[in-house]
Amino acid sequence: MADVQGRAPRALLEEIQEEGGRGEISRERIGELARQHRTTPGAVQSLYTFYFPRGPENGAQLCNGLPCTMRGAHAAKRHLETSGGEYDTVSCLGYCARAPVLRKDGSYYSLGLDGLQEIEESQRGFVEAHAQRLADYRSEGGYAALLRFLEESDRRFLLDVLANVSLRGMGGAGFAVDQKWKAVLAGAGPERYLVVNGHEGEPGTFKDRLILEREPHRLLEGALIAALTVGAQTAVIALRSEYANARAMLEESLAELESFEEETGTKGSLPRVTLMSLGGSYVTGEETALLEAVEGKRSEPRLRPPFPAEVGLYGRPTLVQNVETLTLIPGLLAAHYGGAAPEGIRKYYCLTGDVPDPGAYRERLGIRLDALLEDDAGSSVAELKAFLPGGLSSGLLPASKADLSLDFDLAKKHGCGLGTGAVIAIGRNRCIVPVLQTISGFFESESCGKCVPCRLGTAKLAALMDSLQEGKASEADLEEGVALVRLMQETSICALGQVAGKSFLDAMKHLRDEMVAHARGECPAHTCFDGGE
Amino acid sequence: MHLTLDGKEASAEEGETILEVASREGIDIPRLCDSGGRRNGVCRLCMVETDAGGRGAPSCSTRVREGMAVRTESPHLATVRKGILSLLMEEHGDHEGAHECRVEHYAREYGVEPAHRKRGVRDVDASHPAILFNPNVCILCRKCVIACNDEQVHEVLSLAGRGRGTRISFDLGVSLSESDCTSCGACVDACPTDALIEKGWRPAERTVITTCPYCGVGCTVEYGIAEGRIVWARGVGGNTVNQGTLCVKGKFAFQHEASDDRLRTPLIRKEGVPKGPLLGRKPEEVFRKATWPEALDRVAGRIRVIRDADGPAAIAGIASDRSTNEDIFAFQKFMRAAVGTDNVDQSATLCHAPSAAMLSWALGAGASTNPVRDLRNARTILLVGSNTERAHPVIASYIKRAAKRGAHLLIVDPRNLEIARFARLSLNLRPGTDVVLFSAMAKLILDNGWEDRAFIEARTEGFEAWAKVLEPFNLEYASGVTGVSADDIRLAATLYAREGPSVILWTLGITEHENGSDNVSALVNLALLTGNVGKPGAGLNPIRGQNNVQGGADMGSTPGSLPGYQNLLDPAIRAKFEARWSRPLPEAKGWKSTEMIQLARGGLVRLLYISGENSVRSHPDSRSVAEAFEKLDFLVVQDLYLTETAEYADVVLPAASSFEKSGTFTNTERRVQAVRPLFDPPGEARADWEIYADLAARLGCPMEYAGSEAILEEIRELTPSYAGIRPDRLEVGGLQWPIRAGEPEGTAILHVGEFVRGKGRFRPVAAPVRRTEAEKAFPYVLITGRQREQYHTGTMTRRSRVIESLAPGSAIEMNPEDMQRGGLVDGDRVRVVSSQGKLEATVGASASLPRGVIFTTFHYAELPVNLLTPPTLDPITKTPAYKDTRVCVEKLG
Repeated sequence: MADVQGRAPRALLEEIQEEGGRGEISRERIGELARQHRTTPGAVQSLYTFYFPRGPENGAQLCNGLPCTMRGAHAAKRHLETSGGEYDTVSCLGYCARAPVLRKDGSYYSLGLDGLQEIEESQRGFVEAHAQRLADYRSEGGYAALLRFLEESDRRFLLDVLANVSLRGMGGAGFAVDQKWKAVLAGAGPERYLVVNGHEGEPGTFKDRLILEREPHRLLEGALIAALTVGAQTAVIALRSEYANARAMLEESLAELESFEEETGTKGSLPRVTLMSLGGSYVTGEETALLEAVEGKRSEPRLRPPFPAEVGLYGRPTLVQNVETLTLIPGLLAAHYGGAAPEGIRKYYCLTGDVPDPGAYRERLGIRLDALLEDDAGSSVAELKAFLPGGLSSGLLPASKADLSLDFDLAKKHGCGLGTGAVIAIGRNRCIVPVLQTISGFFESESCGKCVPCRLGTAKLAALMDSLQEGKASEADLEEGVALVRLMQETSICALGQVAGKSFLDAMKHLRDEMVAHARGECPAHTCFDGGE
Repeated sequence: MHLTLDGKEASAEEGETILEVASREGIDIPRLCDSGGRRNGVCRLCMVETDAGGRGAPSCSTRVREGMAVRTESPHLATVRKGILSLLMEEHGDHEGAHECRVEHYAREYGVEPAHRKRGVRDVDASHPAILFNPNVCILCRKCVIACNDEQVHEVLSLAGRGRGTRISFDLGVSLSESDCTSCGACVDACPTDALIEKGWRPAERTVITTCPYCGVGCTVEYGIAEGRIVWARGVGGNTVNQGTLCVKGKFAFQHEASDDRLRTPLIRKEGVPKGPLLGRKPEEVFRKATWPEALDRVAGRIRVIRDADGPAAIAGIASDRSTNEDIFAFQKFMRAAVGTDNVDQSATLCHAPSAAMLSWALGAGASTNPVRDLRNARTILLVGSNTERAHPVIASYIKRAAKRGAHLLIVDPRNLEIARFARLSLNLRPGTDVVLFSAMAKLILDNGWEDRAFIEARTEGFEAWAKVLEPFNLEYASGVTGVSADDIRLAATLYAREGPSVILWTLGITEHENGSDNVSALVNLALLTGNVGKPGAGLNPIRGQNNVQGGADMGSTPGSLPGYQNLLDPAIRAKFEARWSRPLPEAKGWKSTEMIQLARGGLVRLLYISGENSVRSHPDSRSVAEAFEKLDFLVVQDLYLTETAEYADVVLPAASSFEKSGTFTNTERRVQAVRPLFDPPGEARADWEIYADLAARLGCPMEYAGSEAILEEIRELTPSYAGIRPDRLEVGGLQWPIRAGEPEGTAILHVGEFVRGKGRFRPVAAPVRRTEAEKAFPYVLITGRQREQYHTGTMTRRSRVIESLAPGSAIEMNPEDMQRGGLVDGDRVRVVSSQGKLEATVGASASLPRGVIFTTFHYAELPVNLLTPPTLDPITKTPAYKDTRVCVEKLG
């Protein structure tokens, strides 16, 4: 597996992740790590500075994700500055429903009017208490489908089952699952991998964390079924390093799985499942960047084609699948075995932003946005100016579109994808410009820097949003911004650069008057320029 | 498959990129980060339109499809490219000095304003003597990182940081001069913006492609020339051994050509000035300038007088292996036909003669069997007695690339070499125990039945006799003698035998021993045993030292061996040459260079003609070499400079360097390559062959050639292995011999199907006897070798400004524990004493050395280490045991 005789780059990256998370890795220590892993100090430094570009974290980390900034992260910043504590800002901490969020010494806090309040669901005890155990899962019929599936001589029928319900990937790109699996099966050679993408990092999205913490066995069963279907001998579950609770639950579940294997006499016939915790930026969740990280390299997207199904982990055919997608597999297979008509797919919708009851709600795929807002989030269309239907990368739609169905046809019908299903609502009294400013800042800070249009373009766009926010941009600047975004869409290597300016483009289309006014120094929402002057 | 490019039909191979096809069709798609065959694809400038839709596709990473219609120019593409260039130009700071920036070039082409909005100006790194790094014009195209890590595998350059904070870093972010940079210049050649550029770079008025004057790798180099000087050098890609790369010497060590102290006229020792070195005197106090006729008359006259008095055997000559095949051919013809002596030799006697002799004895050809490029086909690489990263950096990169792709690299060397980082196993054996190690590996292979029976039976002889002598070499014994663990010996034998094809590479760590020939035979036996000869990925490859040492032997500058290794003592062969040259040839085999010097000391050799060898520094036991030179009746030295050896001469003849003449060199893999002149020789200096021809005429043996091509014509006529050379086929990359008549393609791999001599021969070899008495008096083994930057006695490299600042001196390197025990710290002065002599030097710790071994180089006049080396010679080839001098080390007050 190593790319050089005797080298184990993945182990090196894991050590860097571990040690870098605890504090600064000194130059001496870098030299030691290089000797130990038979590489150069420069190579160690290259990894360290990619995964920890700002050096060690100190004090507290304030979440700077859009849901948090909308809910007063800026105010929280002032609070922290006046109280004199040291802090960093981070792009997303994954507790968007409890915005604004602060992390301190590994604990998560919600910053309310009455100060810091530890987030209960972030506490290990809480997670332990709510996590699915092997016994519970089996009593609901869990792993039964897997055991039967193991007996099958030809498992490719599952592809038809998935095609029948038109299962699509829930990680953002929405690719047809059966097609992807088919491509992996068609890949060359006997060695194959499954990489479970648990590197969730888009502000507003925290569904995978919930699944990992609460339904680890359902995920494992789904991963095992997928690996068996495509012929992968090894599955790697790649997690955000922030998801320590999820990792703990998975470790416990893997131990339980071992006893299950012994009990059922399936030891040796199931694919091997390993865990890897990865820091890095949002871009690490991009499937080819994730593969680079799992190989122990700087997590930068690869050029495609070839796609991972053909040339993936260590150059082998690899299935990269999102956590949520895989948890749907056991149910679909069980329903098939039960002879039941395929049920509709239920997925998580994360609702954040300007809604009274932010949270993650599991609903049937294709629920209307207005229903979701009203029934789950305690809000209404009347309160809405615009919304992001599927996270920061999906783009922006005006409130007038709130009757749409949140399904995979969104992109085709409305030009904005379902993405991860993370709806961020923008209230009617909110100025759109600071929202765009946060979004463009996010993409600038998360760009890996590999390709020119993304490395330089995200920075230029962020600078434009800053000028716009300050009322110092001209209409011509805005048009130049549109051209820049089109260039980034066309020429960036991966989705990050391609989508970084989507919301800006959509705002120019749907909220053009507001944008142009702001460029002139007028804030129609009267929230910028000291009360709108 | 077929596609259309801008409406024109084009054909392509499956898997090619649009960029590759377009380049072949002469369409120059704008691009900045293209790294040849290595996927990079970060600049996004090379976008083209395909039939897939209006969206651009990067041509460097989009593969062609049957029937594809590609447009490389359109208004939309112009907008896209302009957009990318605008982003880059906003970042782009100011250049330092002359440059050729491709970003600026394209910006002009696409009408992008050069709006220098420099953000965060960063310091220019000018710390390196030859390379300037200006991060302000770096566009992070990563070509330099690819060149340093994936091509050269020096792994000094890396990317640090992420996103907007990404930057190019040398090691841990230190300056270039503080880093482990080997100064190969690959990053400079890769850089499209001249963020990395030669210091003082200037555009060339003209360029010449020729073969590097340094080591036996034989890299093809393009030199840029302005105002009569070389201003830069670049590796040439394509069908060349270096495939575009170079090492520090090829890239930066070219200033010697224009050195002020080049010899420009013949010099004659002044009347009454006794023989001996300058000893601080100015050259003009010892020598006077002479005209060519006077100098040549003097030399020819002395040859005639001595020949008449003592016979031609009292005259001997050493050819320069830095000169061309044509020069060396002319030299041996002059010595044999005009002077009448077979006392002709070349530098191989000091280095790889055991390799050539034993390969020739066993297989029928005294040369490397497989091309360098073939290393990529090897699954196991056994690298023996070779600090390849220092002595042959370009080949080291091939080895490291192979190891990175998963080949097993096994290293055998007393020192723990840098390249060991890439090795599966590093066997740090005690110096001089090679035969025991390789015999034990052979026995283990036999005991396990891993030998290639069919190969042994069909293609070899002498197996049984050899197998019998292996009996004592069991693992326990071998481990005890070599100091290598039994497990490591077992693993090495297993990988070599079972994970083939396996290739063996070696250099002077094998040959420069009292039993150098036996060491070579032990390796040859291993390859015959496992059938690892005569096929791709396998082979026996001694890596040669000087640029034309292979050619020197090929051209017959070896006693008893006429051009093409034709036996002088064979009457039929001698008759062929005598008929062609119209002169009788000597009937007895002459002396090797080491023997010539011993005989001179004894008064039997009275006239010595040395071309381009600095013998007084490079031969062992320098004191007796000096004594020999002082005793000679007459010493002629022909060189570029007044070397330490020339200081002893009676007549000094100024020679042209290989930058000033045409001809051919033959590299370590038998590749005959063109040498082309960049300039006229300085002053009255002349090509070696012209000097020999004029002398021959004076001795009544006309050797008239219109030019070096005429000599090549004669070589082809008389030398079967060079017979098929067509000069037009030597364009770039050359041809590997044998190039028989009618086989103009040459021969990449030797011994395919059949050995040159018919059957391969095993040669039984015994373990050397340990000289325990000497070990008591002299507890350390002194090994001499090379630094990466310097070359031999430094005649060329020490006249290169860049090299002098990169490698200004040498110390005695010593194991840190040994130093501690001897009460020594870095920088202490020590006296090193051997049976032959003593010298004083500075000592420094080196963790790469095992206990009991010290190391230094022979590059520096300030540290003339051959004062210490004894004249212990290999009995077969008379090669000195430079790698095994017994010494003691004393701390100086």
